Amino acid sequence: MPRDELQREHRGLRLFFLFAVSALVVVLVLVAVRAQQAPWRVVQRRFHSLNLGGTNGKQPLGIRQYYTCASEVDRCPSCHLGIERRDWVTEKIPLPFRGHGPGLRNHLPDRIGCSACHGGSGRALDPPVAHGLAGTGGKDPLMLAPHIQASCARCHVPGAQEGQERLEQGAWLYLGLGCALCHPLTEGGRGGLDFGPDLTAIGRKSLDSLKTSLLDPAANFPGSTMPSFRLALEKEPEAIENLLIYLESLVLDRYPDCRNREKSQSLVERPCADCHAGEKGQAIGRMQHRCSYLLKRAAELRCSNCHSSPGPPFGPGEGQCPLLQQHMEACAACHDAARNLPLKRGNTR
Amino acid sequence: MNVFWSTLLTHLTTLPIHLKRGLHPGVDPETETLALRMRRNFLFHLHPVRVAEHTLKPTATFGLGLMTLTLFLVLALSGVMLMVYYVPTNREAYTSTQDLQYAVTFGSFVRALHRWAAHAMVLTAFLHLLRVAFCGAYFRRELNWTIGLNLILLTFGLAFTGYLLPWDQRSFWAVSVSTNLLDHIPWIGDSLKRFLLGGREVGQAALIRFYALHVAILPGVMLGLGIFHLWRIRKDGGLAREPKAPEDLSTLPAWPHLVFREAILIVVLVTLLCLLATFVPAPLGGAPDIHNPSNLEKTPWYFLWLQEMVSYSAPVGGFIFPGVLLMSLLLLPFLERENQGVGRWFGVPGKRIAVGVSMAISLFFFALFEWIFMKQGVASWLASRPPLVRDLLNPATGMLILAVIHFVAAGILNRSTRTAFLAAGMVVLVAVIGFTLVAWCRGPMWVFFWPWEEWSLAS
Repeated sequence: MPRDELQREHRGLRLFFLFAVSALVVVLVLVAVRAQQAPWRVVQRRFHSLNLGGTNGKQPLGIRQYYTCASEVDRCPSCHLGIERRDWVTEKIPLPFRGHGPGLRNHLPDRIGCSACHGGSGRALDPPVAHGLAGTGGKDPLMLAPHIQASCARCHVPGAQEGQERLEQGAWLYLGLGCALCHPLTEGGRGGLDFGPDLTAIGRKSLDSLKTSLLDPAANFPGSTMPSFRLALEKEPEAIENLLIYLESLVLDRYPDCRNREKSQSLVERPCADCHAGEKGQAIGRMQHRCSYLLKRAAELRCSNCHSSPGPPFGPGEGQCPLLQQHMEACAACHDAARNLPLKRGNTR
Repeated sequence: MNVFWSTLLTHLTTLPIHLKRGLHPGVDPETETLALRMRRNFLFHLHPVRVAEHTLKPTATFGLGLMTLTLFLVLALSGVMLMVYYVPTNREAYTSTQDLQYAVTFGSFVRALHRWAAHAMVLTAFLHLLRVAFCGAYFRRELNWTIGLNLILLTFGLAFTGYLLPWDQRSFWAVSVSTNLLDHIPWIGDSLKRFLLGGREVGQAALIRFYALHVAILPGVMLGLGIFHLWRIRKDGGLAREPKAPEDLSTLPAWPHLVFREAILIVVLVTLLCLLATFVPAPLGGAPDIHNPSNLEKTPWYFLWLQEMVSYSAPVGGFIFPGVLLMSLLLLPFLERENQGVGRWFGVPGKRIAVGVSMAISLFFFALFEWIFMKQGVASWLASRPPLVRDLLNPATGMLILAVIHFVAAGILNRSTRTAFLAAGMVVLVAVIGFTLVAWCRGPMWVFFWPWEEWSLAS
């Protein structure tokens, strides 16, 4: 190559290099600018521009998070900045900043966090991911109104507390429709009749597909031997939804009971005679009948409905209750002893 | 006081000169030779003083080796940044990745950068191998070719071990599926899998092993071999070319002609990576659910060709085909020693026709094989045959036999081992890329769907 051509090429290369380096600098600035556009920063800027915090409420911008007693991290208050303000429940406060309202009761957010009940990904700060919306790999319908009641079952026996009526109705439906006859809720599924698959993880399926399975079982699984519950459920969309809420609750882990952990564990370890201290070891009082299913039907049920003979009542074949007789596992509809965990709270005393 | 300030001012104004002198100590910039300059600077010292003019053309190498090196450095840097937050335990791996993704400043950017650089490095390393193979640049460089093969295997290993670390649903199941491919290696497959996973399934033991491999063992070995690889290039006389007398060779000084080209390539590559990392973040699925593979079970994309072949036949796809491929690659520089057309794409011009014909024929046969074996009737007919027939009749065997036929035919017709290897290599390349694309199109139950056909994972 001639000398002047080489020099021209050298100059061209230098120019190109300079151009490339400036492009890199521009891109790096872009990276920094985009980091400032994170959704939670935008929301916090809006919070301050609305002047909601007042004069002394201007806490410095930053990620706010709850470190819960179960060692989980919930970053929800980074955007939901007024969630603990009881006076911010009005419509006047725009939505992400509104207070939680009366539903909190004993559920202190800084102890049990948000995602324990509301689902979603507490660590995420990306709204669709944090809220567990479809398509993010974390589909979580717990966010939506009646379905949040499924979360109650993480700690409470269905119906033991107010505000979980839908869940309780669902649990009753599960017993009343005889679901447990084929789908016992014990570890490993298959019970005495050995029909249906384990339903303890069924709550992960989409609500639509669960609904289809109830009304037309063969639609999702050709050749399914499950009877259709169209007659019982079709006219009652609310009943279907209650059952779905109950099914959703089955998949949720039991929430670590931070406050009463020692107490509930020791209760389980105590000898039966500590409570069942009646004559010949029989129970006294209502001790053994804290099951809300039985209590609410006490008027219909007689002791002989379940117990054919005195003595330890729960041995197979001892009782006459169809559920007890063949499917002790039906107890697991309320009691999660099947998951080798202490009985749920509200049932231990 | 006056003297102090004037001295300081003098020193400050002459600082640029001193700095330049400092970088080039004891040398007068006016009289220094090019050779001296190249030798004095450590980074320039990696280069020869003069380079052959034809190697500067972008099409000569496409800069693939340099790109791979750059990506390795980007990966090392971003990887160390990720290590600061990442915790390799099955309780915290996923949550610490979530922290990185959502809460750590620039965490999502660095994570995306690491991921894009990793995918790009697998690609550039593969293309670099293809370039060296199709240019015949392995000529009399048996050692460096072998090191290079080890480096690309290490690249695959690094990409694969890194795939598990986010510990989300996708990575957990992808690695479970991929390590199950090891079962198809006879005799040692099961032990190998247990050695890699620390058990029979992906769990805490596997995570800590993958982590150790990913951040210490594999990068360490790669660094050592990589330095050796670069050093051997200099020792072997720079980029491969036909043996020629030095006076016939037109050369240019490496500074600025080579060095600036390299610098431009590096800067452009890093810029593109940063752009990509900013606008296309790395995905993070839900927490791993070891009981429910909720996603489509697929390996990472660079192992899809293996998975596709294994879906037809475990012994051929999981062992014979990759085994034959690896052995042929290892033996290539020892068996193919023609000195014509070295460093040129597809050899001397007369031989390129053979390669084109090979490509056309293998494309046709690949489509034919896949079409035949995807037919429901063929699959059910095969299912009723004895195991040996079932294992041997599949597209992978077909492509392997086709490669052997091409090797023999091209060798005899062209009287050249180079052409024979080129033709057979083209068949294998078509097979690998084809199997990858077909597997990429597969939907639930491993059913083939065209990209424009819709399928869903519902129910």
